[in-house]
Amino acid sequence: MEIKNLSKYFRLARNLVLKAVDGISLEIYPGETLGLVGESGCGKSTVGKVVVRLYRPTAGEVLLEGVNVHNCGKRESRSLFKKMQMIFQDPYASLNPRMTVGEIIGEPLEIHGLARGKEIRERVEDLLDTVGLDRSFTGRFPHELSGGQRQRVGIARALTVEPKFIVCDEPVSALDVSIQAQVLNLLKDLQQRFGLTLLFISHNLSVVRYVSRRVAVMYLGRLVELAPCRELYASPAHPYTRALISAIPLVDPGAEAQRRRIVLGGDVPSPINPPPGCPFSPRCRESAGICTEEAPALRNMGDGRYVACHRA
Amino acid sequence: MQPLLKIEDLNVQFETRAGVLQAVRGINLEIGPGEALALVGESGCGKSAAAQSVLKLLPSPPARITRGGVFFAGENLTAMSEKELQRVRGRDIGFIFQDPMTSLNPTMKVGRQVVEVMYRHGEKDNKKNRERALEIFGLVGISNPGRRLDQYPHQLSGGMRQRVMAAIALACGPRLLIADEPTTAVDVTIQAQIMELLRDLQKKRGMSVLLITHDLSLVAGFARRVAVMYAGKIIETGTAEEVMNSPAHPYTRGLLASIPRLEVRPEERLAPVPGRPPVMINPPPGCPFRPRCPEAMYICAKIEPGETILGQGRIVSCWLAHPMAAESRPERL
Amino acid sequence: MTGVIRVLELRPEDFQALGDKGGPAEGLSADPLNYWRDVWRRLKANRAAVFGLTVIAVLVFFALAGPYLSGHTYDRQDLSMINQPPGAGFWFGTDCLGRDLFTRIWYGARISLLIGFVTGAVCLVIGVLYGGISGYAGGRVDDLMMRAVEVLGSIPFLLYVILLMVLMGPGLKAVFIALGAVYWLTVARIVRGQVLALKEQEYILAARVLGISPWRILTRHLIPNTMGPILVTLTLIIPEAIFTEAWLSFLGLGVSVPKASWGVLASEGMEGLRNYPWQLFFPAFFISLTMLAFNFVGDGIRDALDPRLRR
Repeated sequence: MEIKNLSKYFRLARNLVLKAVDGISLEIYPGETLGLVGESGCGKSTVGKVVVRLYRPTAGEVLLEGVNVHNCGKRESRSLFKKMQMIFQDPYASLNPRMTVGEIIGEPLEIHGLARGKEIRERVEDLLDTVGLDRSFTGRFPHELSGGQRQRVGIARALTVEPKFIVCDEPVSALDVSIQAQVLNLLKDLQQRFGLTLLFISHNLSVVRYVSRRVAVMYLGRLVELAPCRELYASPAHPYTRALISAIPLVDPGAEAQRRRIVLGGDVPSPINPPPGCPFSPRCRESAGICTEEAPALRNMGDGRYVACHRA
Repeated sequence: MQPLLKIEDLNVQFETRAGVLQAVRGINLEIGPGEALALVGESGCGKSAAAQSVLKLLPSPPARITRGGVFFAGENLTAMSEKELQRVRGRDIGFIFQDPMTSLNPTMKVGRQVVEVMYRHGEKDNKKNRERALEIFGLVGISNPGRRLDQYPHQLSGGMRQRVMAAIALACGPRLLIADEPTTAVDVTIQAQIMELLRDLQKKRGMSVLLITHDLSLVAGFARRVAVMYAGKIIETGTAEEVMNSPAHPYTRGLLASIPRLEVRPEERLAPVPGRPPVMINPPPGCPFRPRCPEAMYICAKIEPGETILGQGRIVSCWLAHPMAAESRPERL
Repeated sequence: MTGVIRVLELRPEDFQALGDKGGPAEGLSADPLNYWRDVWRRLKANRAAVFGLTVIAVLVFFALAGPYLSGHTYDRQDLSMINQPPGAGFWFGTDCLGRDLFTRIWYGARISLLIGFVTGAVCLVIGVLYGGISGYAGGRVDDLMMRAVEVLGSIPFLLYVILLMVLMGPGLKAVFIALGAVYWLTVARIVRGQVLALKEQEYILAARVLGISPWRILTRHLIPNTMGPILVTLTLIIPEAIFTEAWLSFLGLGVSVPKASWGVLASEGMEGLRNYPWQLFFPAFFISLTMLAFNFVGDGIRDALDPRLRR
């Protein structure tokens, strides 16, 4: 998967343009999990939605195995549905309340002609097994299920077409801690079992650290840092990443008492009217003259690290 | 030292279509002056019901306090009339809700919402009130407070709104602040700001704070004492160090093992509690955590465990703490 | 709790590990109710709605069977029996031409109810499709389709009716078309609003990501989820259509004699109001009863669908 210089603008009014995603380039390697983190409104969800073709990009392109997903032939376009899937955030909104679990999971099998008649039922039951749900769930409606169970159904639905690549858009943020851990383990297991490539979008840095091999940090529609997971958390290079990581509360009271917190002042500026220069400069302690004038480009720092900061 | 807030054997029920839901089943809790206490639990464990019952904020019906009482500085809040309670709400006890968008009046300027609280509690001079509001806005970290006073909630960001909520809660200088999941609806960096604010209020102003949260990791940097709730009961209390570093209840252990921690190598697998919390409508006998408990014993299916006192302020409700458990299962020690 | 422990003797075997017996179960909620069964159950608990449903059922039964019960026909005139009061021979009395009012009332019920239900059905089909397509397509298509609705909605209703009467001559068909043409606009607007709100829901996004065709998304995912508000609207449209037809007939623009709808009967009853009040009373009573019944049912459905009352 290759994302090249992707931008997505939303026109809100005649002269009002929201730059949700502004020139992002990423590569996701087969079999890896790339974590995409950032605060709400930073455009991370938009990236996911453009990738799975829910939105058309304003500029740039998304390539899956060399095929431009937004600009390809009809047949290729159809086969892409079977290659890319998405898992959604809200377990209460992501399942059709009028369909049974069996119908929800069976529908993609039917329309893609992956199974027919009795096979559908068998496949549905297999998939329920795969995600750790009892087969008796087939005839149940979503509102009878708990949040964790619904999320499992959502995962089973994404797996029906045996995709290679799955976008996980905040898949565990709506779940309780103990359920969240169950779903995270399930995702990790499935990835290994099926050799899936995941784009894992989340605002929760500890969760992203648990599942990802590499992590990309977004701020106001831009990529500010991209690094292997271990390096990013051990020695964040961008001031924003540093602040984010420092904002994660630690569980151990001793460690929490000792560490130095960076509490960022202010709020994330509006993406409708972003600040000039580096988008992070108004909140950055290390901001210098050049930061307010010129937006820094993403620079290769070696060892697979990329940082967009004048001062790094 | 006399506790500022004392919750004694509080029981709260909800009438539902499916039967009576026992949301809170006899909890005891004390908060001293200037103390920060965290009440932790997953959704549906009754922590919010308990917190809102302190000020009788739950709509009744369906909610009903069936037994027990809440005492604030020696006064019984549970026995108070609605009118008397209104005097306490806002003036003596401030309350910060989870969702700042729905708890602020969208048609009123935020400054007026703060001033109104002061006015209602006897500060009739609105010019002075406005000055105080300005001061409080500065205190809770609202930048450019003069301009913000005259804005409407929708003009503010999520973090700002949560601060306005805090300002309203602080308007009359309460002695106790109850924060019910104050950071669930906001981003990490804003969460850090709000936790910093709560810490400041408690440390520098000597305010007592009751933090209600589902996020165990917020506790470490904030509260000295922690109470963990499960199925309407407090199953473990202790200092933050005790509970986080040597949890006594298997549920607390499970919760801690469920959190992807920054201190732990990511390759280490999370060990979540299996299953999900029970719905406390006609619960079966025994310990409500038994179906999910990896260490359950025969007794756990029969009788719900009582409280075992392990030390000063350190209490656990689990049969594993019973001396006979140690005798029968020496390998555990 | 402590009381229980005191009387109970604890034995060492109580503290043996339970192992996997009674291990964790990803259990299901107790009652496997589907959505509509749930709604139906709540509706049944609503007395007014049950009353309304019963009344509608009784009205439909008599509309079908009533004209055969009295032994009279709706159009047979018996000039020796004009303006009879209600009694053993004529249960609801007779009109100024000596026709049996009981038979005519139920014959009129057929036409009135038919008008209600057919209008409802027509509105449902056209309105749901039109509104659904408009809402789901969005953008320019939506703008265009909704402008059309607004233009049609701005034409005065009476103008419609009179134009149609001129074109087609008075009669049932014209009434159907006139009513259908007006009320489907309401349904279309409501469905469009619902679809607009629903199409950003994650299950619709999921369906799109799975490559499910727009038509199937519309018919299988969106429209079933708008059925609640549509049903409520229908229970308002049906009695309104009945009432509007009555009103048109009253003005002489509706069904033509000797056929009779409730409106025609009420109109005829007006003439003899002073001396033979039952001639107006019966049609007016049944019109009111129908309106009331449908309104009760509509309110009931609305309450049964209201998520705030769930649980």
